[in-house]
Amino acid sequence: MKRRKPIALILSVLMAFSVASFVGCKDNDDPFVEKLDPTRTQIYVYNYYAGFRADWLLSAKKQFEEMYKDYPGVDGKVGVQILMDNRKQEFNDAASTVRNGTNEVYFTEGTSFHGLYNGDGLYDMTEWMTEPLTEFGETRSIADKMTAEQREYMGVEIDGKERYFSLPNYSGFSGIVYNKDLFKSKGFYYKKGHESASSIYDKFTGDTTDLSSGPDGEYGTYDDGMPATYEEFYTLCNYIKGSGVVPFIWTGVHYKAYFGKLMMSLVADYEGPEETRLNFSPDGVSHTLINADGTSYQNSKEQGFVINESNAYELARQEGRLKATEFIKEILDTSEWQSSNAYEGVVSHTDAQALYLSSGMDGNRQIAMLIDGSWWEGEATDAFDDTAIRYNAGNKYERNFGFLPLPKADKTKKGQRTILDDLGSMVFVKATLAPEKEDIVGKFIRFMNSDKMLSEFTRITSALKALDYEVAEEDYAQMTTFAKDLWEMRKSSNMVYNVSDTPLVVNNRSYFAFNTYWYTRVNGRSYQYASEAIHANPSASVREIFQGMIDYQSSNWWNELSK
Amino acid sequence: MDEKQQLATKLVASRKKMSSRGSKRDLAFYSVFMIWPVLHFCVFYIAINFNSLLLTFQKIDLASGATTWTLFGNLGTALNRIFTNPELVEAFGNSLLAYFVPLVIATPLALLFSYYVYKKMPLAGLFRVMLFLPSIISAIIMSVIFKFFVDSAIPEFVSLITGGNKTIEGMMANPNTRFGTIMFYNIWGCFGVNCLMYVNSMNDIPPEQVEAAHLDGATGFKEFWYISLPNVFSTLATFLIAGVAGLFTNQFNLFNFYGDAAPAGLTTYGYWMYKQTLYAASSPAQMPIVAAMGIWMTLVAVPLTLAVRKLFDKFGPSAE
Repeated sequence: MKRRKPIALILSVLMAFSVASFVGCKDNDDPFVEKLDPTRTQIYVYNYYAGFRADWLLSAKKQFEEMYKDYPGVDGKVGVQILMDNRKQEFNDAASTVRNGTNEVYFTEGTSFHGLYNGDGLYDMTEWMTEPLTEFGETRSIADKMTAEQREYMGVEIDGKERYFSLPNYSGFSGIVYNKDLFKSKGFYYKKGHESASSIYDKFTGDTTDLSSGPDGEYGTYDDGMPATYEEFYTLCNYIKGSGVVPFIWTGVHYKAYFGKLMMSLVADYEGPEETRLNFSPDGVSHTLINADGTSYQNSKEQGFVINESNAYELARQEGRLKATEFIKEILDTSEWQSSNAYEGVVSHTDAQALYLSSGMDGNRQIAMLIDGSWWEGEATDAFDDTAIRYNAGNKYERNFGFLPLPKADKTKKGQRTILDDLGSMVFVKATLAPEKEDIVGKFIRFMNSDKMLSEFTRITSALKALDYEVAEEDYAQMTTFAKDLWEMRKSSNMVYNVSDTPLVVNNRSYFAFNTYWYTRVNGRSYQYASEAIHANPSASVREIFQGMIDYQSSNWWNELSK
Repeated sequence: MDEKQQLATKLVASRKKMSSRGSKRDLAFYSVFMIWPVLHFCVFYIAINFNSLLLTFQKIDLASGATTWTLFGNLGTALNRIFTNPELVEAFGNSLLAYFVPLVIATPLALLFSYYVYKKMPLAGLFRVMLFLPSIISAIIMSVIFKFFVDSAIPEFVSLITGGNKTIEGMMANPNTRFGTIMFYNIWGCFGVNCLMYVNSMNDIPPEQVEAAHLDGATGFKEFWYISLPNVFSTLATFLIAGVAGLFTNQFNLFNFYGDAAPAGLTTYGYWMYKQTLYAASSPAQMPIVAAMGIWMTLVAVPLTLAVRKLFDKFGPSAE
């Protein structure tokens, strides 16, 4: 008994300590803790705090609060206070949670519009979105900044009139990040006239005034010096490897998902906007369907093949899928191009960013490229800061990275790019918004979607919003090289958004996404991701994997859709 | 009534009053203590399962916003999917393995080890703490530590001892070793809890019973077989029956390791359901099919669990 007393005392102290240590914790990951000011009108904002972080929202909050510091609220309140609820989770909750929750404005990703709309969770924002933004010196409305597909998806026809209950938020797509400083110092750019060079050493240069025309085939554009075709890309990887630099790093933990997204980008770029849209709005004619041996499927290439909701599974035959599979197989099969822990393992996407940024700084080998998304630079903010402190490397604005324009499958495909934004990110307001707050929340929504704020978002986050806007000159001048690349890429590309109001797609949202699009069957086993099938079956050919996709999509995938 | 009697009457009345106050206080304490778990059970078991039952007979059309009723539509689709979806076909074998392999390997080992600890053999206390460690630490943290060990530390170690001449893939990254590695983790993970429960049951064995056995010459394995095992059999049976009941919900710790992207060949029914429920969050129209799957699995699991319990009741050893 005597022995137990001190133990009990120690345990009590430990318990008291652990309880006390939780006192300072909030119930979320919000680093911007702020007390409620009862003298002002509050707007409660939910923000999905991931790759895009909340620095942009914090800046907008300060400006909006300053702009409306004299705003007269009810009960003698003066001014506005934006209270942020930053959470590290996409918003997939039910409409009832939105209706009954504290938060009023939501900036989310991966949310089902139709689920929330049908559950009466969404506020009708039509007036805010269709009136021109004249208070900001603009002539267009928010709806004018949306594409026809976005308007169709987020608009609902009520009594013959289009009403809007949400609007697009972040834009995101996958690709390959490259280190511009390294490319310049090591001479990894393709030089003008490299096609006639007989030796691999004569193809590349570090002189940025003597670059090839890149994938778009035009000189003087942002993609000059970049590999124009898959073949050129493979040659570049070999050259990089031969120079003692590791060509790639990617997340081992999430490699299947990241390669799945990269494949979506490759397919979109190969197929072009119309064929890409068929994947989300299966109503049109496809001219790229093939058999696994490469021949045209039912004269699709010659005469076109009608795609509708009854045969959408045939899109697994799109030639772009074969080409995308070919591209990633080359990368996945060539182990000497890869950093360690490339598969599964313990390297998360943020670990990969940190390793990429610190490569070459601690006696380890430099890494030329990172497979990631258009949001990576904002997401890697902490890794940039950490590397700057630890290795005395420059900060985000002092180092130069770029977003590699994906190479084309062959020379005939050189030209304009198509980008697929599959983030499914949106902004909405809760249906039960208090009447006295309608005015100020409307002002907030309009403010956040003015060109000035959209431009500022791109400057702060090095990422894009899924609306049509221009980046102001003063913002552009302050942007990182990566953000500039991204902006130039977006300006010169066809943008396709993964949105659709086709019933088949609406009712089977999860079956029309990067993580369910690459099912294949190889050697009798089904794989959710083609990248996994390639890694597990190194001897399987691209055509076998492609045939596996056709088989799976026409049977299991199709049969499981809710029709 | 004399003074003594009056005093006694007062004392009885006072005791009655105190006892009544005490039982009221007990009731209040009991109510406060129980209200949360009962409420939790009502919301997170009864309400949720009732909702699943309703979903089984609904068809949700998100495009039109209409919800209609269907008698066997979802049940038929779900049944068809159980037999045709390649992941689910594979999940059948994996789910059985996830139950039987730990049963065959871990249960006898846990029993023997518990006996070792119960008999206070050398380092018994240390083993008890070490084995229980995985159960104290959060499952997610334990999974991360384990993953780092098998996928990072072991390849590093192999590279170190071979002077960098041999490099191996992580044990969970390598398709040939990952199933075995995860099976090991599952066995190891449940070992500590099992041991602790068995040891506690063994500690409840009356010393007179053990002494009598010793007098009859039963020591070592005989004591384990004839005294310890029958006494812990009810605990053992509980674990085995709970395992059968969890045949369709055991996610094999796959979600801890891989999130929603576990490699092919590992899926169990439990993991598949987990994943589909996650996907259905963004595709609510798929929820009725997932709910119907749950109904089919319940229809198999309930009679199976009851049958196994009956078998244990009938054929299990008795401490008598």
